[in-house]
Order: sequence, then C-alpha cells, then structure tokens
Amino acid sequence: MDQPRPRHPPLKSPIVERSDLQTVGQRAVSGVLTLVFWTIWAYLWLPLLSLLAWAVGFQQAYKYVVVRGGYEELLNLIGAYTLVIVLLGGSLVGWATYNILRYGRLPMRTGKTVVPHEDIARYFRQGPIAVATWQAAQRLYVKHNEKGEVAGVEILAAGEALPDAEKATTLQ
Amino acid sequence: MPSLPTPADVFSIMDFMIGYSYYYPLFMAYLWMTGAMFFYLRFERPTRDQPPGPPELREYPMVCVLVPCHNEGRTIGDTVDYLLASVYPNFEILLVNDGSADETRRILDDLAERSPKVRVIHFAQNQGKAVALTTASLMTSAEYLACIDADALLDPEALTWMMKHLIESPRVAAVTGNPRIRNRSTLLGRLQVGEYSSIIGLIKRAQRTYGRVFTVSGVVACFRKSALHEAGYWSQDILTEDIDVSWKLQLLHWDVRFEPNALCWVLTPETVRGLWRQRLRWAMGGIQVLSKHLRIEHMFRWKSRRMWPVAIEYVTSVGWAYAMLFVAVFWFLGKFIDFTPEYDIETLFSGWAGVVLATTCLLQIGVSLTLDSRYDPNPARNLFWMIWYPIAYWMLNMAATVAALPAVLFRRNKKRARWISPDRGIRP
Repeated sequence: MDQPRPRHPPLKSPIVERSDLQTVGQRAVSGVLTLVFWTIWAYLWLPLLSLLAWAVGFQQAYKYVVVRGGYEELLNLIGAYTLVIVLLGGSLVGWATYNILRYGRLPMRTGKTVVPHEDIARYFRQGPIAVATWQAAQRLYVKHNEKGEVAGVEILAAGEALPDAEKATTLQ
Repeated sequence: MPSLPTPADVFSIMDFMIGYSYYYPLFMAYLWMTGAMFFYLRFERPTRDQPPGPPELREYPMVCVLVPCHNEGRTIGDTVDYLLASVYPNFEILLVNDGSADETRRILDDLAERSPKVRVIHFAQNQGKAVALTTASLMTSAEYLACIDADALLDPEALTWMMKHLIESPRVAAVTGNPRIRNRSTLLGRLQVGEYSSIIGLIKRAQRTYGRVFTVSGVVACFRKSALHEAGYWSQDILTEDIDVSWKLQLLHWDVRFEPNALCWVLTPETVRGLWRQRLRWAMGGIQVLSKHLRIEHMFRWKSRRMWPVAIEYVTSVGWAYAMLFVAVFWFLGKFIDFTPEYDIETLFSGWAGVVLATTCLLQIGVSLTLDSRYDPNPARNLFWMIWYPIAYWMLNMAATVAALPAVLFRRNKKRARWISPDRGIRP
C-alpha cells in the first residue's frame, strides 16, 4: 500500500482531538459503552476462548470441542458460509465485469447536454436578462414565496445593509 | 429455538427471523468487502506511472462551490479558507445565508469583501437546504456545482478529482467525495472514524462496482447543472435531499460516481442525542425517498431495472431492522415467560456463529483500513474503539430504522424539510 501523500501544510490541521474538553458525564458514558461493547465482543469469541482454555489444560473445553464434536459444527458453518459468500461476491464481480466489457468503451450521452441559460431562467419563472445580472452580482438579497420559489431579488452594493423591514428571521 | 438455523432452514417464523437477523448483516459485509476490493483494483489503485497529486484535466471549466449556511458563524471562516486554497484554477464560492440568526450574515459579507472569488446570497427567511441549493443554482452561470456543507473542510485537490469524472464522461451527473471525520475527541467521534471507513467507504465502493449508488454524500458532491435541471433540482419535502437527488438522477439514467481521492473533513455529532437525531433523520429520509419513488410508476419500468437492486437492498434493510427487533424482544421476554421450545431463544448468536460474526468484523475493519490508509494517516490508532463498531452500527441502524418508519408514515406530506443546527462535537 502507498504512503500517505503530503497535503498542503499552510492550512491548519483539520483534525480536532481534544479529549481533555469532555465533561465527567461524557467520560463516564464513554467508559460504560466501551466496557459493554468489549464484553459483547468477548462473548462472541467464547468458543475460541474455550479452545484456548483447553490448550492450556482445561479439560471441559476439550470435552465440548473434540469429544462431543463441536468442531464439526464449525466446519459445516464455514463450508455453507463460504458457498454463499462466493456466490454473492462472484455475482457482483461478474456483473461488474460484464458491464465493463459490454458498455465500458461505448460513447454514451455524447450529444451536447448543457441546458441553455434561457431554459433555466424559464424554469424558475424569471427573465433571462435579470438572471444574468444576478449571476454577475457579488451580494444578493432574495425573498421566497410559500412554495420556496424566488419571489424577489435585490442586488446589494458592497457594505450596503440588508433591507431593514425584511431582516433575516428563522422559521422553525 | 436452541441453535442458529442453517441457510436452508426457513421452516418456522422464528427460524426465518433468526436467520434473517444473523445472515443479512453477515453476508452484506462480505458483499461490501468483495465489491470494495474490486473497485480498488479496477478504479482506485495507483498505477506505477501515475504522478502524485490530482490528475491533469483537458479543460478547467468554471465550478461554483455552493455553501448553504444556517447559523454557521463559528465554522464558515475555516471552510472558506480551505476552499480558497483549492488547486482547481477556475472556481467561485457562493455562500448562501439561509436566514441565520447569529453573526453569519456579517461574517459572510466580510469574506466576500476579502476575496473576489466569494459571492453571498442572503435569504429574507430560512428556507431549508434544498431551497438554498436550488436558488443558488439559479444565481450562478457555472455548469458545474460543487455542494459543500458549511462546517466541512474540502481538501485543496478535491475539486480537481471530482471534476475529472464530469469532464471525461458526459453521462456523469454527480460525483460524491470521501468524507473523513475531523473531530475525534470522544468515543462517539472515534467510532465514526471507524464507521466512515469500514462501513460507508466500503458501501460506496461496492455500490459503484454494481453501478448505482444509494446516495451521494450531502456534505460533499459535485453536480452537472444540466442533469440537475432535467431532474428538477433538489426536493424540498425530503429530509435527506442528497438521497432523493441521487435517485432522481439515476432513474433518468445519469451516472453517479464516487471519488475516494476527493477528501472532505467533516464534523460529526459527539453526543448520543446528536448522533441519534442524525441517524433518525437519515433513516427517515431513506424511507421517504423509497416510498416516494415506489409510488412513481417509472420505478417499475424495465428501463429502471438497474435501480431495483438498490431499492430491494433498502427494503431488505428496513425489514431486517424489524426482524432483529422481533428476535431481541422474544429473547428478552423469554427470560420472564416460558415459551414453547420453538419460540424460546436461549442466547443471541452464541457458539461458532458468534465467532464467525466477530471474525467478519475484524476482516471488515482490516479491509477498510487497507483501502483507506492512503487518505487517513494512521487510522489504526482508533482500532481499540473501531474493532466492535460494525456490531454497534447494526444495532444503531436497527433502532433508527424501527423508529423512522412510523415517523415517516405519520409525517405530514409535503411538509418542508428545514434546518436544525446539528451537534458538531467538542471543539476548543
């Protein structure tokens, strides 16, 4: 596997790792959750733990795993699971390979696909000249109707305050 | 019900439920791993003659980076700093102040004064993310729209990586990037480092191997405006507008791609309440999109057949949540009530089945760490928390899905999805 590439040192690191800022309650919840899930994790491994126990001399595990044939169940499971996994994974890889071979080199949607500016303006029920002006402006103030459609647009000059009567409010 | 049924055993409801709840996540994990490894070998593995850094493009058309903001005064400065450091040579940044009540308005105006690349739209009232993105699409002449959340830091090379797909293939409508977790101070933060690698990254790669994705990541995606126009832009009434737009585009036979090199550093919830709200919203949004498109006739046309497996997989996952709940409830009640033997569940996933499940978790983590080692230096640092996360993920998924289905059924139709400021974790 490749080494990680260096990425733009002038920017500050995006990673925030400050566990010291946690409250006591958060630490407690984290500790409990970690303990619970590690217990579940260990529980799942019980048969193997039993096997290990047998290896260091505990005869009970030997009785269950070898004498009573516990390993046979494992072999059966592994055989059945492997078959299903190979069928599922093989289908996916086969499907992907078929598509690459069948369509990989075919030119698709090669026609001009850019929607004209006028069509976009019409879709939003706005005039194309007005839209072109808005698209060139650096600051805009936009009002919407009940349906979320653009109902009014003002171009704001640099430093100009927003219209007082229409101060931004939050609808929740 | 003394032991786990084999795949051939579907004789009773209880056998079926136990088998479903165990085998579905198990086999899906292997399907994701297989698909992800195929994706890596076919599309992602660097070739020997490949120079470091982003690819050289044959042209660099204008890209407009849309950043909807609702009360983002604390985060937007860093977001814009990262965007301005982009190595893509031809872009503008369009910041949308969606009715913020904090100092966002002033900060956005200051940012616009500092750089001619930055433009600002102030909304008179809060409208929600879908309306913010749709309105912003009208206010730019660019054919390519990169949509970034206001608390996300876009890697300077990400735009070029995403644009590669849109330039090279006219059938590509959208490219989703690779979100990486920024905040790793708490258990929940570290868990999600594992989740974004071992679950989300694997699923995205596997779905691309199949050819259709369930969703772009709403936090980082680049779109072709003509395709969005054909699809009717973003839907206002869906809680997860990213899932909905992905389905709309793909049902119109546009391609949606995943670009793992397009990194985007994101903040995630670090409280149980915040995480729960986020996951409930995702689950509700997924169910909304599924039910919306299943009601539309074109979903069942033969031409839409490539989306059927995506829909079937989601229906199966919703069914799995209820099957798992069914089994867990019977197991718990069995501690207090004497059921007949066929309904008596002694233990959940004991014996070798448990070992197989635990081994699968390990394999899944191992595959994901291998594939992701190029993007996230030293991810194994969080192994202590990641190792059992696939199990925790399925449990969280079950709870959120079970709660989401009735919430969607009883939600008022066409109700506008609006912003709720999310938990962004612990920060200095």
